Amino acid sequence: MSETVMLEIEDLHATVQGKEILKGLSLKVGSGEVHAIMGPNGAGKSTTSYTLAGREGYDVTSGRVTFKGADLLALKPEERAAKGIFLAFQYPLEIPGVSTLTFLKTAVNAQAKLRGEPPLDAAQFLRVAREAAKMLNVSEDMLKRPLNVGFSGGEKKRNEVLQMALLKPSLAILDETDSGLDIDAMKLVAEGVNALRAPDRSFLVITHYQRLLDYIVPDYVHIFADGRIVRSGDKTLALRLEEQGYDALIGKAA
Amino acid sequence: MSQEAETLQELADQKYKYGFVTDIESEFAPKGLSEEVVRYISKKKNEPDWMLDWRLSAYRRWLTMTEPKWARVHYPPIDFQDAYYYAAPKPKDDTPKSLDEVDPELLKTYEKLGIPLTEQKMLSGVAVDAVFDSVSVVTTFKAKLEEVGVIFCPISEALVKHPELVRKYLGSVVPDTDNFYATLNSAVFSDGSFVYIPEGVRCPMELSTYFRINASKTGQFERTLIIADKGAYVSYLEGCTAPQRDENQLHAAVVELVALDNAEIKYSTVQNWYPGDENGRGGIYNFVTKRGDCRGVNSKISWTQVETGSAITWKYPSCVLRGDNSVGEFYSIAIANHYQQADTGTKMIHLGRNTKSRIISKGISAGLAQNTYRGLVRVHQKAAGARNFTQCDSLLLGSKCGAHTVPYIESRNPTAILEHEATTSKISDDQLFYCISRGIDTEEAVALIVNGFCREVLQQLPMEFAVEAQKLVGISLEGSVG
Amino acid sequence: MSEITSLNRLLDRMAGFERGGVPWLDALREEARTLFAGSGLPTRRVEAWKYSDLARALAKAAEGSGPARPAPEIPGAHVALFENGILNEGQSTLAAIGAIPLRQVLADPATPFAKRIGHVNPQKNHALLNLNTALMEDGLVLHVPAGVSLPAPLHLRYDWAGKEAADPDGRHLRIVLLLEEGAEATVVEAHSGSPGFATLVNEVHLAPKAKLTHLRFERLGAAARQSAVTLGELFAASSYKGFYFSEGGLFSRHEALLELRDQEAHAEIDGIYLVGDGRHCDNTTILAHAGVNTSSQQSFRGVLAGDSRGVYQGCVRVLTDAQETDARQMSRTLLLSDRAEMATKPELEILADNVKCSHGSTAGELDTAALFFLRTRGIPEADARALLIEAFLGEGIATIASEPLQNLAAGLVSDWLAFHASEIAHAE
Repeated sequence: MSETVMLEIEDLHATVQGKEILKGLSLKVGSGEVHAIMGPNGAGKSTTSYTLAGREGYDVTSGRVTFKGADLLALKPEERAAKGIFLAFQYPLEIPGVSTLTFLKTAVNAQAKLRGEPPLDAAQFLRVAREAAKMLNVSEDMLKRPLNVGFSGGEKKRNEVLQMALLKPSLAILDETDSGLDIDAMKLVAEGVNALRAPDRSFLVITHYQRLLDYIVPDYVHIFADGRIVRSGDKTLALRLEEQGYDALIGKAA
Repeated sequence: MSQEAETLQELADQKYKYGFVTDIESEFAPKGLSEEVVRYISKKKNEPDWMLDWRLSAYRRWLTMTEPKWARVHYPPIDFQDAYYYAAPKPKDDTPKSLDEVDPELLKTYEKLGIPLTEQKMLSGVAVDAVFDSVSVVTTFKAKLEEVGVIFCPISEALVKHPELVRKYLGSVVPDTDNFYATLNSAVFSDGSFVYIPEGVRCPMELSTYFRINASKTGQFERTLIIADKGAYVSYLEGCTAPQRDENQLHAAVVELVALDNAEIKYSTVQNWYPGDENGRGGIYNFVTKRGDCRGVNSKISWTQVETGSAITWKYPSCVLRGDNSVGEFYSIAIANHYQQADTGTKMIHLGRNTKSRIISKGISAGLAQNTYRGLVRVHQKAAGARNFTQCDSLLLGSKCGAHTVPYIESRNPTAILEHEATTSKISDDQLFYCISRGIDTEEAVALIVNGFCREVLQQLPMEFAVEAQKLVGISLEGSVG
Repeated sequence: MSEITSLNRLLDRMAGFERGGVPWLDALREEARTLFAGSGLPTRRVEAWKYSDLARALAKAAEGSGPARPAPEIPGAHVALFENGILNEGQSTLAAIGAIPLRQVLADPATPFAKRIGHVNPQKNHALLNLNTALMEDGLVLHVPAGVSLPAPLHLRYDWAGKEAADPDGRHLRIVLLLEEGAEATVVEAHSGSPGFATLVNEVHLAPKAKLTHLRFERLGAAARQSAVTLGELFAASSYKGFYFSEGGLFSRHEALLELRDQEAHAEIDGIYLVGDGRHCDNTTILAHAGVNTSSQQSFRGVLAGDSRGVYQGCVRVLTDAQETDARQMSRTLLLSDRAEMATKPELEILADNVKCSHGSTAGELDTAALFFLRTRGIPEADARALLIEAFLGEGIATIASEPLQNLAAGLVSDWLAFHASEIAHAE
């Protein structure tokens, strides 16, 4: 564990439509660390990401979340974003009528404003955006099209990474980023993520399969079951999981 | 005319196979409508005084009302004095107590209609109430149903045996002031079915009423009342036919459904009243008021109808979604051929929170027919989280018919989500050709495509009805592609 | 206190009008007056007015009109300025495009336009049209000869202000647009202020291959009571392209009654409406396809805030011989408040078999998933809501071909959103 703690989740309980999904989740993520969360469907992985991002309908009933020293749960979703939380969606939303570029600019400048920083002017922004887009193989045409409308699965996920590159979060939560991607698309996304790894940036990589972790190598692996972490280890835990399956490992832990 | 069209025309002209008349001695109320006739009907049924008063008050109100004119149907003025409001097969002594006492002519009639009433011959798992002109002639499986507390009997019998239940619920969904035809029905209804499913009971078999108009110059005014108490479930089927006559006969029924907390009622109709001949002579005027009240939380009412008969159909089976989380459904196939006119649809009134409704309507027009879907979805201010999905599709077979879609969509709550889609098209030549090129003959190809068009609705019907309905759909439709 | 509309006064006025000494006009007015006397003003008992009660709106004395928002400017356009329903010829540039004041045409017993006025897609039982025909005074006739394409748009500017505007018996305007074969024109209406009662009738005659682009920017005041009708007859291969922007009013209604009379006629209408507290906005269309191979497309998008009411009634009618008609219709509404109310009636009346017709309609609130997505990217809720509303309406605006007019529409939307910011943002 590195010296500074970026995110600390303590005994978190959360309900969705009255049903308890998170049942005592605790986790510490240090600066610059990559944590992988693995687990079977329905274990509460996506609930974790939505609860951290502040989605309505995900109600915290007890527990605390401290992010960069502040009470994360007291903040609105946009304030969490400005503070450095970034959620890469499993299914990025399509927003007809809003061009990708307009959306990116609005987001970058909204966050700057919330942080009390000066906004980028149009030219500055365009330069930064184009640079990042090039690196991620996002075409000029994609930037002009309405956000995610008609994008392929790979394009949508690259667009998520592009947003991450421009918004420069402190903690990026990747929610099943590999779902629906073929191997080439996944590599491209992983490369994008790896390029963003930095000592002051942490990652929470949520995934069902081990294969993504071949490309985004984690420092820690946690196995999630029934609303909490039941087992933690280093990257070899993911490999063992792949070999033996959830039942065997969770069975042992229980 | 192309060869396809010819085959199709042949099929379209297929004779109405339920057009026979049963020769049976009947007794009638005096012709025409008056307080005396209302009293006569009430007396025939040995009704309590409150029931007679209810009828008389409806009759007096009816005198002040005018026929609704907003539907897209046209017919010469009806002379309400030129019809009998009560006709019953003359009983040998009194109302039959068991099957053995039922006039064999009647049993034969139902057998011919494909509805054998002797229990050993019956479709297993379906209890039948057979209504012949103005009276119920027999109800099967009554004893078996009584074991679980289900009441299934003619409404005239319910008025005598269960007056407290009838009085509590009759008119509570369709008040006697509701509309011209419902009010007329309230004054003169002669019989119909009554169903009560007690709390927590899942009715062990399908219940069914089979309506038959036989006598000439007779209107049929039946009244059906179904109550599903808390947590109860019932599936109810209704079928109708009438003899082939040159005159137009009036059928003005009222159906009321009440679903209390967590109850579910599934109501299916295959309406095959005599539609009139290919020149538009004769046929039934089917002016019906059907409404379900989802009175309790989590209750559900589902209407499924296959409307192939009648010269004119005017009916809008509706749901009042009063209980929170209640669900209303309307699945409809309406087929109009020759000179038939159909104006049918539904109303979904969202009053409770998180209420959901779904409307699937398939209209098919052929010949010179006019077919209209008319529907209302209304979300009241307090119905937060309400959802509606409506899909109305029309298929035109021939260039002289009409297909019309008139939806009214009213939302007063921002959290409600309402979606409506409608399409009108003709049967696709490409699809037809594709089938034919695979060796399927035209009539079969049309039946195939049309059944595919109606599939979503046919799937909702209980098995016993689905096969019959599918055949009916095939016959009514195939004949008309030009 | 202002007076209210009086049916008797209207009828008296009509009787005087039909003795003007111009035979064709007197006959036209007399017929209209007789029909109107029989029907009176439309009430909710009339099916077409089920959701918009004009008689009731007129029976109330109009309250203060609030601050008038300026009418949009149309750069480079020829202007016809109507002040409180009266043409200000000095401020107008009609001659340059051959437009003639209506008063002049109505006074001419031998005008060649007599065969058109009151005869474009006639609707005998339309009370409001009859009222307008019986009492029309101001307006203009624009005749575009065959093959001529107007280089600049005609800007019909309607300003209502002061005591004059509030006349409860109304000002009744008529615009006649006659495009001969292959002619092309763009006409832009801009409305501002609060008429006490205004009726406006546009008659649009499109000869074969003529093309009209018709934009309406209704930015009326809160006390405005206006009912407008655009009547159109579209001959072979002609095209009508409409864009309707409206902010509603105490009562605001526009009906597009178009007949696609001959083959390959095409009509396209995009509408956007933003309706604030206390306002009513009604878009009604009847597109009658009579010719073969005609097509139409309609798309309406509305945003309702506060205690407002939106109405969309869209009827597509395909007549017996109109084979191969392709007609599409879409209505989408966002309700921003629990006091807002939307009534939608998309209607299909099909009498020909070889057709493709469809309609769709949705009503609901802003997509909560999209809203959350935007907020996770750091965009504050109020901004995210405005962004989504702008995007929702933007697809309608994108259909305007002219860039300056597109910018004008986008500007009106941003303006409305800024003006109603507090109604849009959900209180936390």
